Amino acid sequence: MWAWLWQRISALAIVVLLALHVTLTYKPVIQLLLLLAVTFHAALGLRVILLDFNLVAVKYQRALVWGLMALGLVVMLTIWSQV
Amino acid sequence: MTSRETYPTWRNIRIFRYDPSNGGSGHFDSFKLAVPDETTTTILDVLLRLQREQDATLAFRYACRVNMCGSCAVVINGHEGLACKTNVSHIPPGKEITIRPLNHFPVIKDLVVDMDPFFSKYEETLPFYEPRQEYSEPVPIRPDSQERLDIGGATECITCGCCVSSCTMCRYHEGYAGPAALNRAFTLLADSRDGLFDQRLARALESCYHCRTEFNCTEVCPKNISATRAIKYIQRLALKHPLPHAPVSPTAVLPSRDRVPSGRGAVSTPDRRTFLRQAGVGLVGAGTVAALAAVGTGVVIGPALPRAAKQWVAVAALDDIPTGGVTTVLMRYEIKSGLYAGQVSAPVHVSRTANEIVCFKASCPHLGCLVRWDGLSGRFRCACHGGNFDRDGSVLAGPPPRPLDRYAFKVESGRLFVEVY
Repeated sequence: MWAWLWQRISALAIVVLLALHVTLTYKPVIQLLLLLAVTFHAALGLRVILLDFNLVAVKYQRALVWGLMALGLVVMLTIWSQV
Repeated sequence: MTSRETYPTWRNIRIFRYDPSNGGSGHFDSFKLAVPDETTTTILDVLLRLQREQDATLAFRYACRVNMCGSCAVVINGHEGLACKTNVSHIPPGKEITIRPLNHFPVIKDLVVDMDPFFSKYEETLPFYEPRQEYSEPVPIRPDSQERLDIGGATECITCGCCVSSCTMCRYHEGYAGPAALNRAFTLLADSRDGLFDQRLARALESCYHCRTEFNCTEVCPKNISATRAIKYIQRLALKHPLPHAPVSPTAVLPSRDRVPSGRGAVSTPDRRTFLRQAGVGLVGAGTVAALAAVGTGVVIGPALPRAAKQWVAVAALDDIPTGGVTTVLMRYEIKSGLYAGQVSAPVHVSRTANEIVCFKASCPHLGCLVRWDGLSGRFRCACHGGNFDRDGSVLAGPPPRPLDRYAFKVESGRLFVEVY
C-alpha cells in the first residue's frame, strides 16, 4: 500500500517541482529534487508495469520496490555526477 | 506432558462494541484477561472466554474454529485475520490487543458484520461452474498442467472477507467487485472447461481496473492467496480477448438454469461526455495548481535558494590598465549550475586612480542594458533610457534606481580578478 501511496505523493511533488523548475531555472537544488522525485516515481511505476505484464512474478513485489529504487538511484547519481 | 514452563500472562484487550438497539457509532470496551499459554491461545479463545467469564452480551461470529469456514474474520490491531488463526503470542508481549469488526461492512452487533454486500458482489461475477458442453465422462485438469499451476491455490478461498476489508479501493469505488469476487472469477476464467468465459470476463473487466496494485489483500489473506495476482491475470486477458464494448445485461448472460444473481446488474460506466467533462475539469484543476505552485512557491522559495557558485575570473594584467582612466575589459568564464553549463562573456569597467581601483558591472541597474564609458564627458552612459552615471557610478540622470553595481576584486601576482556568480 505504501508503494502505491508514495507514488501518488511523488507525482504531486513532480508537479510542484516541475513548475518551480520552469520558473526558477538553473537552480541545482530544484534540479536535484526534481530528478530525485522523477526517479522515485519512475521506479515505482516500472514496478507496476513489470507486475501488470507478469514480467516479474507478484511474489517478488516487495523486492521490486527496493531493487528498482536502488537501481534508479544508481542511474540518477551517475547522471548527476556527469554534469 | 511437555516440560515447557507456562505461566499466565495478563493481557489488556479492547473490543469494539455496537448495540443496534442503542444506536450511535459504537465504542470500545476494555477487558483484562489472564492467558495461561499465549502460544496455544487464539484470539477466538480469548473472545469465547470473555463472553463466558466477563460479558455475556459480547457478539461475534464463528463456526469451525480450525481456519476452514471463514466466519471469524476480524481486524486485530489494524490487521485483518481469522480470530481462530491468530494466536495471542502473535501480538508483541505486553501490547494491548484491539479487536474491531471488518472494515467497509455494515456492523450488525459488536464484531458481527453484514456479509450481504460481499456475497451480492460475489454473485455478480458468476461464481459457479457452467460446463462448455455436455460431458459424459469426468474431465480432469491434470495436476501438472500449466492451467492447474496458473490457478494454483486460488481455489482455496473461504470468503472470509479479510481482503475486501483491507482494500482501500473497495472503500472508494462502490461498484468495485473486490478481491475475493475477482479471485473467484479468475479461477473459472483460467479453467478451460468453463462455458461462461465471455460473460464472466465482460463482468470482471467492468471492475478489475479499480485495483491499484496495493497488495493489501495479498498480505492479509489467511489462505495465502494473492488476489492481486488473480486481478492482474484478468487484466491481461483483456489484451488477448478484445470484447465489444457493450454494457452487460444481467439476464442475457445467464445459463438456462435458474441461478439469477441478486443485487444490481452490471456496473455503469461513464459515457463519453461525462468522461470528457471530468477529464477537462481535471486538466484545468491540474493547470491551476501548477500555475499557483509556480507563482507562489517561486516567489517564496526563489530568494532562499543558493545561486550558482561564486568564482574568481581573471580580467587583465594590472599593467594593462592605465592609471587615471576607465578601461573596459571583456572577461570570459564558464558557469556551471546543476544541469546547466555555459560560456559567459561580459564587459567590466575598471576605473583606476592613483590610490583606488573600482570594477563596475557593465549592465544598467534600470533594465540591464549595456552601459558604456564616454571618455569625453567623463560619464557612464546607458543608450536605452538615457541613464547617466559619474565616474564613481552614482546616478546623474535618467531612470536608474541605484548606482552602478560593483564587483568584488583582488590583485594577485600582478593580475586583476573579479568575483562573479
